[in-house]
Amino acid sequence: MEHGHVTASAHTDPSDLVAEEARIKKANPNYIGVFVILGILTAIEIGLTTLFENTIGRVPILLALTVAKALLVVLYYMHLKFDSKLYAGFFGIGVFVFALPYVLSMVALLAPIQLVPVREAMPGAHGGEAAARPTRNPNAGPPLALNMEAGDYFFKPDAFDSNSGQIVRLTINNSGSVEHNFTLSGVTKDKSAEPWKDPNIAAEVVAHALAGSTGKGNFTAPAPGEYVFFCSIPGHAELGMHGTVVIK
Amino acid sequence: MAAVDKLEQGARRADEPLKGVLIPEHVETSTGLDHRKMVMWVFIASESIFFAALMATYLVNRDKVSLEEGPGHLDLAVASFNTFILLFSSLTMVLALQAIERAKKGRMIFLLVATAFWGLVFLGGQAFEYIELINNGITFDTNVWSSSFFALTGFHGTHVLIGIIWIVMLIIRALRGGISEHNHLAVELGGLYWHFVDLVWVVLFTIIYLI
Repeated sequence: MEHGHVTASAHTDPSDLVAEEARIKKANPNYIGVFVILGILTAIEIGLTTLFENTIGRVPILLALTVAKALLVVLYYMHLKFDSKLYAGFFGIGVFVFALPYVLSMVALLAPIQLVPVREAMPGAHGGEAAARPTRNPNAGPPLALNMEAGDYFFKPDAFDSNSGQIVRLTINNSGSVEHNFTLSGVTKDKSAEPWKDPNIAAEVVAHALAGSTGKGNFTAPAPGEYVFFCSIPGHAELGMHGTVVIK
Repeated sequence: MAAVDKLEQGARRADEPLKGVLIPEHVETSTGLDHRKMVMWVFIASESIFFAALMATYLVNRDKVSLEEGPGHLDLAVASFNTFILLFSSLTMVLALQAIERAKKGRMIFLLVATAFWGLVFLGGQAFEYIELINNGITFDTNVWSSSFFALTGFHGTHVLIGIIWIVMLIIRALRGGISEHNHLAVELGGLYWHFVDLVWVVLFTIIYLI
């Protein structure tokens, strides 16, 4: 095979021909221009996220911007626009036949898109800056290790204190004859004293344990206030499996 | 089919003005393409499947914890800074390849050094973020979010580190005279890997910090 070459040379690495072929076809891409566009797209992404946090409508726009950025990198920096279609074929099969369908099906099966972001319903998510960024609470203190007995049908102790932003490492020892769990209400006690009765109240199962065994889980203490914890297994809370945590 | 295309393109190019000498025949392959570059693309395809598995795990577990238990401690400013750093390092990398194509070896070495430097800055940003999380009591085994997060970003960071080592090896090879304007496939392959790592970050940035 014969090739035109940009410079005269007696010695040439044959393997270089492939790169040569691609390069000659390259219309001398404006790499700096591509970088500027990538930067602008990234700035738009950051702006959208900062201005419209928790607005679900921004997600498709962000995904579209990400695809655009990815294409710019692949087509120009990785030269697929100018290179052999065979390379694009291998990459395309990897991404579009395997990678993307896998991610989409996993998300669709295991974490379907919610119209209301789940985190909004989580404890403390609306508790203002202090709750959203518990690191800002200098009094949060080191993680609190807490051992609790969960029996038929009680928690012992059934009250404890914590600081907002503090990580609570909970261990529940199930001394009873049936499964129990520790569920923390997402709202303060003055809003709902019996959160297990209202399915609309967000609550988080922190730890669970089968009869006679031990369960572990962590949670971060939400915004200050009095919160109810309970066993979410039907009937257990009504029988007395609930308690209170005071968050300072 | 691709091989035929190549031949046709070669023939078509014959009527373009020749500025240099003709190059002797190269190693024949069934595709007419260099197998090293082919393998690189197959590798990149398999890497995208590898990262897809980690991304899917992260997305599935993303909302299973409250903000305080992990995601709330992430810093968009640091991640944004890191994003620009990595995008810029991709620019220096591709300019390094362009430099050696134009027989500017010194410029290529300078740009490779710059790429490795920005890669290190990126890793520094990531280390800063990890320390923030650990100081707040969030480690690999704290919860399902932290495990997914550290696995995903940890593997990506490892790729950046491997990329830096790769680039340093290219620099050494260039200094020893092993890379020239006629023999720089190694730079192109290293570049493909580096841009792929950048590409993965473009996606990670969105799924971890933006949505």
